[in-house]
Amino acid sequence: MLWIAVRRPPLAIVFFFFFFAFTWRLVSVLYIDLFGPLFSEQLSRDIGPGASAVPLALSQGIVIAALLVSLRPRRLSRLLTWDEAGLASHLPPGLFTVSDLAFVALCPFVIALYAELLMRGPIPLFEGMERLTYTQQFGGPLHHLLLDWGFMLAFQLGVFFALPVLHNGRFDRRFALVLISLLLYLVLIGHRFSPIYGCCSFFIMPLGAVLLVRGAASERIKILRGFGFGAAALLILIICTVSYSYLVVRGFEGSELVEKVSQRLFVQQGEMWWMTYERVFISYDWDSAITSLKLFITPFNPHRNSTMQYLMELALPLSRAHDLLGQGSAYTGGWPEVLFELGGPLGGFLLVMVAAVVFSEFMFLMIRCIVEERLATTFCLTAVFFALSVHLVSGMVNSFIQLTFGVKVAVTLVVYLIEDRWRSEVLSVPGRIGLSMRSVG
Amino acid sequence: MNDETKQIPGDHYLFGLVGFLLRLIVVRPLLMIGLPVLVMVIAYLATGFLRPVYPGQANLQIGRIAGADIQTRNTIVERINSSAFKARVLQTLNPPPDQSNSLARDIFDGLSAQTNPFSDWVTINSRANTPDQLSKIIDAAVSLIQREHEKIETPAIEALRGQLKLAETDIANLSSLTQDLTRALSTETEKKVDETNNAELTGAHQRYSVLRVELMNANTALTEAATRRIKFSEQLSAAQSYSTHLLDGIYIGQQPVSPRRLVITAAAGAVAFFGCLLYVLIWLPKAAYRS
Repeated sequence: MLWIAVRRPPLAIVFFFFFFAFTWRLVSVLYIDLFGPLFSEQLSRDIGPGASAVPLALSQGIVIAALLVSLRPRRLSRLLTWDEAGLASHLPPGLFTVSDLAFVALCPFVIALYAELLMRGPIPLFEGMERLTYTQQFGGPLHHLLLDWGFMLAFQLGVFFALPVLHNGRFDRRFALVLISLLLYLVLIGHRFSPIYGCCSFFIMPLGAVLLVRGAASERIKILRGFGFGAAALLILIICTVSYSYLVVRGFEGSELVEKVSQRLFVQQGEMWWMTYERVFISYDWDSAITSLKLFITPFNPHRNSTMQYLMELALPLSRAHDLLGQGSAYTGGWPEVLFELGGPLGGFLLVMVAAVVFSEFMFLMIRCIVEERLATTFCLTAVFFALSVHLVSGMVNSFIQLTFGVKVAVTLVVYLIEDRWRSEVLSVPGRIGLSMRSVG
Repeated sequence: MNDETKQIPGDHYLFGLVGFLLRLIVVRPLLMIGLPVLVMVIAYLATGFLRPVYPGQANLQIGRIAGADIQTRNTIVERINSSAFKARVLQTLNPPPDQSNSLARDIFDGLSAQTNPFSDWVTINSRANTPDQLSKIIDAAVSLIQREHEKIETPAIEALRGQLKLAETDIANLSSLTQDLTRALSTETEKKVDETNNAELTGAHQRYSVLRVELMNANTALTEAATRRIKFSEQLSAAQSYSTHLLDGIYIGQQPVSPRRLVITAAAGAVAFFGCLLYVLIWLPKAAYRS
């Protein structure tokens, strides 16, 4: 991951969301392996030591290798051979751009979101209220819409933000402002880390995709420097919100604060993997049939990620697990735990390989659609991409058997075909630039 | 070339895509419109043959003994959702052979329970082909749970009542004892003693001390018994001990929730349209729809 960050920074930007999660989990698992036995507050038992980092690192390595193969420079360089000037040069000038349309559609949403926050009553940041409490007791429809679709919205914002760079233009900063207003909203409603990190990571993905195929090295450095400043500002924001939450909202202090922070940073990220490692790799105790049944047919709550529900049922006394799940809580992790619970120590690696290949090829398709300005397809692919992302980070698999997922895939396929055929028609006739140059000539 | 010319014009982009889609439809109107309409008509007629499904719901307040739930809500949810419990519900209803299959399907597919973190009851949901059947299913499920809870509740409540009765008996006995001791103490105080006779004086003093200690012990025991009585009375009060019961009666929907005729018709039409669209896009030569 470090090699990618140094040698191919645009790739690291695209996959920052995943690489960050991978790194954090690996560090946490290493910590448990090396400094165990450690007491886990959430599991109420000791975990570690062991060699659980080895299969985890191998699984992550398989995903990274698949990405490097799917997104090899030669393959990416072919993406821009279709038409350097872009689709716009083949269409007559219009009354407004697609970006204008998107921005005009977004502004009322953001304004309504803030209006809803003000009208609903308390503002959690100022009241010292937990975000979950606010969501459950005060959150309005727009609030829920943002929490459910925020990452995908951030991705779309990123697409419109980065697209002008494809033609050596400047970033469309209007969309950065929309993102900032959404981040501010998230801070106000008491969010500290996950949604902010998620939204920002999804926002920069299209930027990384554009930089992968566009821009000279000097331009890239300039952009990356700007990106560094943004990341630093975001880091400060996250540190402030996390500190506020731990010190003020929850009122931890002294040794309790140190214990809570160390649990959050070093234990909670890796504890569920350690439990799977102990079951599957040490005790050889896994059951594909029961796992499939609990994941796809009889999960505790079929409307949520069944992977973590099942892992919690395995790791905790059933009544405690159900109590926590009933309150809407879920522990961290899920991937690659779910694949090893399904396939065992060897079959698990096979499933990891399948998941890695599907994901990396999908990412190539996604990047291709962004840099070829297939906006309608990119929009539809975002929903499928989100399901794949959640799988790679939280191990969610029950979303793939939902009817809605099938509908999304079908619609995306049809939209892709329509846009593809229409584009080939548009691009087959000489563009405005070609015509004007010809007329000048 | 300035930035503006490089931005995709929104109107041409959107109208271009929509225009292309319309062109696909116009190229094969019979296929793209006729076939989906035909599929919709068939779906609409077919849904008429499907049996209606009615929804039902009941909120079950879990009984308490001395302030503690007889069973946790999650245990009851797990129980009701289990196949073994559903089999017992079916067994309890003992349907005639001609209704057995449909009732079993309704129970095994439709009966479920769930809990909400912000409420202290369990919601039982069910579905059935007739409102009458639905009512019977929920009734049977609730009765099974209630009967089981009664088995736990009755002896526990009896034990509490026994404790209360014991405390009341203790109070009566101790009250009588304290009265006797008070009388004896006052008699002892009023008794005239020859102060010059040392032995008589010491004896009177010892008798007085013994009576006083006994009275104090009896008073302490009386206070404890009274505290116990208050505790058991509170535990048996309606706020802390009650049976498992339904909160609002059983709700039975008057309109069937399934089959949703319009949704099924629209979905069938959409699937047919998408299928035709894929056929045109993948199998027809591009020249067939090129402008």
